[in-house]
Amino acid sequence: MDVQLTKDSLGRAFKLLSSRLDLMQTEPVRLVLCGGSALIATGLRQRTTNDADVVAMLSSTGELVNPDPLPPFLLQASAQVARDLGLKQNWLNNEPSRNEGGLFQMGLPLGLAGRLTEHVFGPRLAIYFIGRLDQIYFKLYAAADQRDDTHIADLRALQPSVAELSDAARWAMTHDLSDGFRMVLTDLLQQMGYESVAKNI
Amino acid sequence: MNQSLKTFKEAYQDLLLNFLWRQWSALGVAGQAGEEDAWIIDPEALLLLTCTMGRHEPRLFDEMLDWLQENGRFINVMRLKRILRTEKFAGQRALAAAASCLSKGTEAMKWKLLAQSVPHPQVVEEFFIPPDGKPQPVLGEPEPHFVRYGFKRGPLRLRGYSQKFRPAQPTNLALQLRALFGINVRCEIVLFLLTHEAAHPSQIAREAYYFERAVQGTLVDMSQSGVVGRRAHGREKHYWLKPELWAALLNRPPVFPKWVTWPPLFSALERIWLKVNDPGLEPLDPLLQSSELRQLMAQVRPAIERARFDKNLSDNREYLGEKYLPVFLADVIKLLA
Repeated sequence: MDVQLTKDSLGRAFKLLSSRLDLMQTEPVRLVLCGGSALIATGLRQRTTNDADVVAMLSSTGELVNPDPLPPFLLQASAQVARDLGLKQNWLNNEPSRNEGGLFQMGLPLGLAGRLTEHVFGPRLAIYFIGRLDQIYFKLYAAADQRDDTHIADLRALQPSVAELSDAARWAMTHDLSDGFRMVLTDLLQQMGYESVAKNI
Repeated sequence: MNQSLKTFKEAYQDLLLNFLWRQWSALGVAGQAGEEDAWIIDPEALLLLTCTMGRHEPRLFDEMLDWLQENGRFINVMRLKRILRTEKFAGQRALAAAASCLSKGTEAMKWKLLAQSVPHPQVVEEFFIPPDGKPQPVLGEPEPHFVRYGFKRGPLRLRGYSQKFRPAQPTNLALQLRALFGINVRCEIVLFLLTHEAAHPSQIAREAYYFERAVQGTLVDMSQSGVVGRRAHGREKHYWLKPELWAALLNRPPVFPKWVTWPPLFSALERIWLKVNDPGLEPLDPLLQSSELRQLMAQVRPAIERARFDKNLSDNREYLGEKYLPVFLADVIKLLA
């Protein structure tokens, strides 16, 4: 059974990962995280998760760059951290931005980089958690795309305003242009009590 | 340094050195006489581990050289090289320096070839490593054989106290057979078959560090003698001997000592020693030390399994984070207990 990550254990995992990268004397890595780990780390939600989703990386000049593939040395070090702390083997992954249909590849919300919260764990590891607005964008898209209760619960917990949800819905529809997706999205917004947003998309 | 790791390092070094002294003493090295072990000593594996650990115990290393001067003709250099190709050992330069010292007399060629297989480095370091790790001044003219291989040590003065190995001592079966049959594959095959109920050629080749084709072909010939038996085991041929007859011939009790595949275990013990002796491990916090040791155990575990000592190891998945550190230390001590 894999160990679940809390705010404390997430910090411990990244601290150990940072130390392992120092031992390996790798180049510095700057990871942009979304999903449950970012919600937990930024205090937007109190729950557990079993992974840390990398949506992008930051270059040394601060530009958002494609996280696919993740550097092999990072995967090697994170696999060792998994064994050390009993985490899921691929607890650190680029699942959200792994292929052509990924979040990074399809386009991230405008201004995401400016809303990041930085946590420096050492000279070779800095983690950037996405902000609340970007969580709303990603969670709405994921909830409509996957119809997963966890995403819907996360989205409710973020208490989005009508304006935020309208913007998020418009952004989500740039990622899936199909009529089917629009219908699912409309249905979801209605179920969540945002009829006015549903009517306007 | 974490106190438990520091205490472990000292205890582990003592255990390893005592173990090596006991093995060499059983072979005839002048030194500590101890309890007799119930297994067969592998002289090549012993030589390889001593080339690393002996740097922490000058007397042991020099007594080993002394023994090699007297008994070195019974060392199987071809097998030694094969072990080196299969298992990781760190003492190759020390081995080359030792071989260079032994390159004289009738055995000169085999040692010379072994010495020549290692390139001469540009930098020179102290050969013997004192407990505090600080270099000690070398008294007298540095030993030229060692300087050639990048080591500075004082002149070699072997005492000549080593004895010829005692042939009937249980641990010395390999050397006894080599004295009887010569340094060859037949000798290693007989040794393996005397300590196993029956065996397949590939198993003998793997565990005795010989080429499978050589073992296979020789066993076919040996079975024609009527002394080596052969039986079908599925599609395989398994070979066997009658140990009681051999015991009488070799002037030994009817039950032969235990076979241990020492090279992978020694390689693992050496790698563990090199890690715990690494000054870089000292300043790390306990979580990172545990991580390093967990990673090390994952690397050496296959070798420990091949030596069939893995029953001494805990399931590290049950000891997460820092909790693994004391478990690792206890497991390693169990390997040598």
